[in-house]
Amino acid sequence: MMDGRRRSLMGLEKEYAAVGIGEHGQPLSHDEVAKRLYKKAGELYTHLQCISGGMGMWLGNGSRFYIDSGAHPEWTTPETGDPWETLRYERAADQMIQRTAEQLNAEDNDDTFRIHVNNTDYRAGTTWGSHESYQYRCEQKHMTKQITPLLVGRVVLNGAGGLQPRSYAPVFSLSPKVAALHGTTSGDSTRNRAIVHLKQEPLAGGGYHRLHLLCGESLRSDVASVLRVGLTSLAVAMIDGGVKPAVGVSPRKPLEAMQQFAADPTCKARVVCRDRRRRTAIDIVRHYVTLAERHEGESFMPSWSARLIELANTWLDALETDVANTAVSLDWSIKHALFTQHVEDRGFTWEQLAEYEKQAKERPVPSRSRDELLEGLSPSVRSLLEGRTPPRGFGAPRERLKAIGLSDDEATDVQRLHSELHEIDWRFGQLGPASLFDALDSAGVLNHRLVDQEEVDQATVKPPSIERAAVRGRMVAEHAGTDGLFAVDWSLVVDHQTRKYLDLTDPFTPSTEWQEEGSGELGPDLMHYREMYRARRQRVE
Amino acid sequence: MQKEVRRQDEAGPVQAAGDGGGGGPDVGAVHRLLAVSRDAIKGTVSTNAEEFTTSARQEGGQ
Repeated sequence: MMDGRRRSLMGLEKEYAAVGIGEHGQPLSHDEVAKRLYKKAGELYTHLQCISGGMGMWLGNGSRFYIDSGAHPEWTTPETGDPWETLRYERAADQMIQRTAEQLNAEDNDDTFRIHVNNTDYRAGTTWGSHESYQYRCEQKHMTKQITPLLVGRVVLNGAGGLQPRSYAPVFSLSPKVAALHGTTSGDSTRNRAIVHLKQEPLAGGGYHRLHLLCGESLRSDVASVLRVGLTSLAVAMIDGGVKPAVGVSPRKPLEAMQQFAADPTCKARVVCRDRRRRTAIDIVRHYVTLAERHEGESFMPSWSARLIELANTWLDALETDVANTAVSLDWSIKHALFTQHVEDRGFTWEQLAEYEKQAKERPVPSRSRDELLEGLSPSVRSLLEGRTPPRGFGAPRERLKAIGLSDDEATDVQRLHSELHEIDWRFGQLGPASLFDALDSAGVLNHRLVDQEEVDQATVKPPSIERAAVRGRMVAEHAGTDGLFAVDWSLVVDHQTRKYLDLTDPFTPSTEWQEEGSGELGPDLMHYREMYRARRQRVE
Repeated sequence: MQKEVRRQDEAGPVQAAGDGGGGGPDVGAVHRLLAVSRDAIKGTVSTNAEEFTTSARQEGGQ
């Protein structure tokens, strides 16, 4: 508690799509891209190694940079105490990885590296995660049930926007990631992902749980980012405080409801809830905000509640009045405006494209050989697919479009538009000089900023307000460059030389006294790290 | 990367209401967005979009 109020704890894990292109235009393997980024980041930033070993480092601002399964670079913010703080560290991560790529580009004239914050490749089924963590104490089953309606409805505020993945014609989606979800709950994080991830890994002691969400998307808009984390964190606080916000607004079929909301840029789609009433996504989110307003003065609500409630009401009002009000502010709405203009510039309408998609989906096409699928592609695209199995469904869109009566030229035009929209989306999420989002931002036509450059710069080097992140950051600053004598993880700092450790299991009151190995009562979380540490030490020795 | 950014609740071309903007309907703002975006898209989107997106999707992910 701080000032008698609940203290919140939250954070983000952000997977970046990193692309490396060689001097002859050939793509570098993702293993090579990941290794070169990791090595360069290690040269640029003060760090200590992760206890678990591998390619993972902790930085002086308390964050973690590592290469995750699939060989993609991933940055985890340190634990943060409010959504504005989370935003500062998310933007700091963007800045640090982009600086790493730019440094590689400056030093190597042959290869080019690009960083994107997109979440789906649209065709091959690859997704890049943007995971959220929120600390809570109540039973997991209760949290899951009470948080789900908000997660279903919040796509109208914090969908990244884009296209429906693996479609035959371009179809707009408020949240392309929804297509990668397969249920309401799941314990799996790599397949059969769901709205709520049931992983039980608190990364803290003291009886805390961690709500881990896979259903969100990386965002460029500050307003959308703060609303995403802030609304979810407020809901977690209410649920932990005994409020039951899901009562009355739970969609009967949560995943189908989320799919319906994601497919509707008017934000007027209604879904059937358990009380048999039909509600829009705005209705559902508004219900949570209204309850938060009602309980704002309670001790279980964080001190920043009122500020967030005002922000949420402002943007819900804007959406409710006219979704166009958000076209320079929320990611999906900005993209919808850009995409719509491009669709019309190419002589199409969304309605026409939706009809093509509907018909093409229903029309079976004969199977094609690999050579037939690659026929007509440019030599450079063919070289990209050299030795690989073409992604599932590759080549099928053209056949389907022709099967519904489009001429060769018409099918080509639809496919060209589809690819251009994919690229616009990827350029939007790109970091650095070629970023479409940054071009719009620099031109002053967006209205979204909640953090300034100085705050982001500070966040690249200084830890946030949460005490154990501050201790971790200080340890990194004091012991970096000691050639593996110290190692770090969320709940532990170990000194391999003296065989002492710092216990950080309590995020708000971490120990600052070095303890002898084997001393003290170790909770399950710390025991897990101790085993990890012992295994690593055996490898080192 | 080190570009100048401003909070829209402090200053900016679009009238802001409250923390982080969110003023009422502003048709002019959308028109400005679209005018700038058309030029930006011409300047950044490649002539071979298929190649651009194919190179991106070869990378690993979640």
